[in-house]
Amino acid sequence: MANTQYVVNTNEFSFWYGNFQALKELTFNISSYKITALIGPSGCGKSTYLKCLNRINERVGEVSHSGSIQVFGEDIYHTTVALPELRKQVGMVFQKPNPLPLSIYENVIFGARTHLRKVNSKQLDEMVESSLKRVGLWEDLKDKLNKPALGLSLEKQQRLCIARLLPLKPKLLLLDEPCSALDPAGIEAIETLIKDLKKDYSILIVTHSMSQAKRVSDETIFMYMGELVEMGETKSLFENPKEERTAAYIEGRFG
Amino acid sequence: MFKPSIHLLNKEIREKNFKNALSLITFFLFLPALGIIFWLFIKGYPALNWNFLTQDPIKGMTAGGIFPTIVGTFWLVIISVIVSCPLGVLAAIYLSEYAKDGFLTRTIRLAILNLAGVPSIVHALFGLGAFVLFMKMGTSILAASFTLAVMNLPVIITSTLESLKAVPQSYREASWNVGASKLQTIRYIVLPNSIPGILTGVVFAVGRSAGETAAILFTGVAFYLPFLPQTVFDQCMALSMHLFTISTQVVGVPEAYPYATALVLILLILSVNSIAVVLRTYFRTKRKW
Repeated sequence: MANTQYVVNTNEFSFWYGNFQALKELTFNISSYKITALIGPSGCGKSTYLKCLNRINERVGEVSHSGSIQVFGEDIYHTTVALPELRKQVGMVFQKPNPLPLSIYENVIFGARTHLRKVNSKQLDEMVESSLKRVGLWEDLKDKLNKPALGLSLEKQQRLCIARLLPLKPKLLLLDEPCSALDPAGIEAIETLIKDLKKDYSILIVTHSMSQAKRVSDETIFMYMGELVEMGETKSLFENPKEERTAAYIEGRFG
Repeated sequence: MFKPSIHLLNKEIREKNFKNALSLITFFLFLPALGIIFWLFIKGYPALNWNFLTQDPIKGMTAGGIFPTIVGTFWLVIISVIVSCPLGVLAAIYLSEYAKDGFLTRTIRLAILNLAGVPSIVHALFGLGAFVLFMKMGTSILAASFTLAVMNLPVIITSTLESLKAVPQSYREASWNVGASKLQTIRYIVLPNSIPGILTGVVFAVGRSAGETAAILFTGVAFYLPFLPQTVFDQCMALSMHLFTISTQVVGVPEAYPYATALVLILLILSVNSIAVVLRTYFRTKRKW
């Protein structure tokens, strides 16, 4: 069942908010240890799809779905799926950095604390150090671990939001326009980090910026009005789009 | 080139007038509060001394002190808060974090709002029927406190709801997103950040309980008792009720007595409120957003 080539198998997946159909029979696979970009105009359903992958959008109100999404070969909409466990393995980074109103240290280990019954402070210290090192914050912050996380710059907050997923040992990272609140230097720094994280994690990134999709992703999915229009290797999708709508969008004729 | 035009000057004058009018209104709103305390102090001063606070009323309540009424008010307030706080906060957590927005939830919210508008004398009758008679508590501190608790519930629920809503949704999402359960999110993220608002509601409730007269009239408070309450099944005296009694029901009370009693009641409520202010400031400085 489990296919190591693909991390996500989406099969005729449709999704509704109330009566509004946000996703229409999506079928595609997302490769392991690659960065896949989801692009498309506002309202095309790319964020909705992302949020379906850890089912974080089920709090919005009445939602329903048909079809299936498998993550690591397991149907995530199966009745036996425990949401906390799913979200632990499929971590999300939001558009607006949203560190918790706690210290930097507590932010990094918040997830681990909620999952692990017994952790000693030495393990926690190690988690904080390795996670912060992984996102390149350790040198800056090692003496300020007890400072409030909300005092950090936006770029550092976003790095912290990535760092706090790492102690949970996630297998898939979902990034929902992670750079849209950042300045150019911040964008470059986060993009470099994302490319580096590819070694250890499969990454799905939603972005408004086509140049960003081109820069960071290996594969690109173009969505429009809740449908999958085209999916392919980033380079070929941007250079030789097969669909007219894809071509129109990446040339900036609409969207 | 940058000299103001006539039009701009007029605009500035209007701006200034408006601001002055607003500050004047604010000042006048503040005046009654100050005036009341000042007046009570002037009129009640002759009766105010240590004995007034620590002795029983004597000679048919025309002399002595108000000690038993202070004790009674403390009993009532503390027990009603112990009852209404957990109930109110838990109900608000359910409504804010768990309940789906549907017909039932909306009805419950509406009922709570309406409960806040029910006159206290009606609460008193409800307390008489439900706690004193039906639940067989008798006229007792317990029945009176329960009545006060019912009266305070909407205040506590509403203010707790407001402060839960004030916690940004993104915090909850961030917490769920690392796999925290709803309960963990409430425990570690939502509640710590809404404590100041919840406290305010509770303190409002305390203030209302301490000053309330009608709701405790039939349910557990006596005009005069020659002894202090020993258990929650005894009756007690209360400051608010005592003020009513010596102002209107007893002949020959020195003029300063009711004023001094009112002053004690108000200062009691003010000091509770200032404790709340101190606590809120403390939590706010600890808060990191």
